[in-house]
Amino acid sequence: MTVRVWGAVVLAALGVGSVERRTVVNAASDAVLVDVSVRQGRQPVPGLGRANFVLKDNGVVQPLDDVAIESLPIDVTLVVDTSASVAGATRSRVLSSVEAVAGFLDPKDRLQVLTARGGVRFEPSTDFYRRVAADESGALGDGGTALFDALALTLMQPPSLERRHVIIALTDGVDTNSVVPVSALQAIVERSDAVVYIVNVVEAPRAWTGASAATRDEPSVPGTIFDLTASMVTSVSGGRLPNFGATESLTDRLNGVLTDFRTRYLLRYTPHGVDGAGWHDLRVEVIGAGTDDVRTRKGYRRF
Amino acid sequence: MTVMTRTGWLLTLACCVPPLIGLAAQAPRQGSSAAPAVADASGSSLEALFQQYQQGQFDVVHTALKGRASAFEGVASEVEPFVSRHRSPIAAAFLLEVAEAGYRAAASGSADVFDRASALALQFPPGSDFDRAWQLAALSLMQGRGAGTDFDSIGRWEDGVREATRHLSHIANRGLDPGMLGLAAGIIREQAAWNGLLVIRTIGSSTATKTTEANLREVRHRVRQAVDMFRAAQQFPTVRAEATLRLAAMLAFEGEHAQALHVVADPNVLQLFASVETLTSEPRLVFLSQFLRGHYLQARGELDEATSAYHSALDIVPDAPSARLALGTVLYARGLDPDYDQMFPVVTSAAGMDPWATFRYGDYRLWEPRLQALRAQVMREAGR
Repeated sequence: MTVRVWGAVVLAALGVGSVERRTVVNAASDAVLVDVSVRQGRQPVPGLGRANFVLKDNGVVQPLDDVAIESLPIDVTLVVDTSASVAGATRSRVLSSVEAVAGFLDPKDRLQVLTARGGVRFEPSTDFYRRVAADESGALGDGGTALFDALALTLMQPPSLERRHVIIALTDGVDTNSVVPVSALQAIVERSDAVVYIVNVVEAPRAWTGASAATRDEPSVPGTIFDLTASMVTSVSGGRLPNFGATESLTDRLNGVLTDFRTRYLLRYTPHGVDGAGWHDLRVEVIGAGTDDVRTRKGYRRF
Repeated sequence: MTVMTRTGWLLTLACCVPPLIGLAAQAPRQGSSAAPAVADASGSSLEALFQQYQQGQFDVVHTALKGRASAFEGVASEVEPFVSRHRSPIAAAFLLEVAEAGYRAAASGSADVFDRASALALQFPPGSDFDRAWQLAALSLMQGRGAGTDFDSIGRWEDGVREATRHLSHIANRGLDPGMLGLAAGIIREQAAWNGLLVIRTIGSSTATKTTEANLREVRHRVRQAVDMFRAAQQFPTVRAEATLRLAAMLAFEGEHAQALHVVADPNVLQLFASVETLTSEPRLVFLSQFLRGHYLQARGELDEATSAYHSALDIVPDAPSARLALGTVLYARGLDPDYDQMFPVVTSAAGMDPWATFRYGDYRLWEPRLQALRAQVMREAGR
């Protein structure tokens, strides 16, 4: 059974005659789809089936209707920080990586680029570099970075029935002027179907916690708002804050992200023994297989 | 390649990968394809540019200065001999434009030029039309420099704040509206507080921005300074509405970061926002009071009230990207579906008016009209 058939089945159950929303975790349907990344080290673990997964919805073990490796076309949204803080060679590498991602996609996949400089900008391909250059001579500062705003906008994008959506943010870890409160961003991630990866683009990988930047003689606070928000966004959506080797290129990092996304398992179940509305906490365990890294979204919200 | 006409996916890969790379080298590096052609004077010396400036060739000079911005240190090195030769008001105006040209690409050199321009301008008697035009333009530029948005240039923010504070003390008795100066002083402190708040919004990788208790103490101190300045500025009728708005905004943002800053949120924020509309009907300020009130309510989880506030803001500026996105997020968080196809182009548009986009820059939003007023005075001085 393919995922495409799952979608049709669920839509039929809903009495929906046309494509409205993909029946992923938070759709108002009986079926729930959850994608799961299973890795040993940095390698995906292949060949798993229903017997290998234990899924709990609000603590209640759910029988799985099906498990498959995801095979739908994917929609990739790149959220690219082109502000002044990403400058020089780093910016060149970031911009080059956009082309690299395009080269990693299959013919049926789609790519969208948003930049997070000043506000949020949609980038038609041929205007991308020209506009960045034009901004350099703009009259009113560089506008700062609105990474969280860009994430919020693309997280709200209505899902497509026949596609899966991955959001990859390329950032140096700066958000200066988003208008979306962090608390609101969490509510958006909880409802969205998209999976978010946040990739650090600076040459020497930065620490993602404030503790590493503490002075020797002063106590540090547990983490900055960016750290906490990035962790929240990726963990709630089931994505990752990829940890890469220092010698790995940004292009390799993005290839790794897409590989991780493509090799996820898709679990389908029909909730039993749990209330419909509200937040549903999800837990997935893998049994009978060697793995040290199982990643899925933290839950879903039904309205 | 298929370029989608719908605002969303820019391409599919059914055909081929678009030539995304390399366009920068081919494209003319200018702000707008519709920009008028100007003579290329980017290689000219400061002296030669000043000759053109005196002749009223402002656009030529502006383009040339912007073209040299990346090599601004070379420009700055010409300033000292220039100032020794030219002591006129027009020279002060010219140097202000030189400073503006470099303030982003070379903040330190730009600050030096600004100081020299300021020193020159302050030698002339206060109260003249020229002096007023110069001081207002300078006041705008200062607030642009103080509004930091670049994490890696936090030193630049601090330079800008120090420079602005110093300049304000110099011009305290030159006949400008004391309310405007008081508000400007508050905005400078607000920018310093914002720069501090950014530290706790950002990953702690730079030695300049260690997220330590000492940093947090400094941020709290700056916020308090801004709050005090805005409270003082509220005493001046000419700026009472904006001072109240900025006071409310500062307290609201402090409250949003209260947990990180270890402070107790001020209970009077909503009252302050509400009072703005009793003080002014200026659309920019009323929009901002509604938008920021919505942000504050949304951060507190009061989603119905936040929705209402954002709607009120959009009643004033219907296509403001900030309020449109904010309204979309609050609806989405409530389980409703904002009209994404309608929202997306508004939010991603650079064309729409958005008072929030210029909020932190204070009077820098007025730089262009004030510059034009100064240039008009230059023409008068030059007898043209």
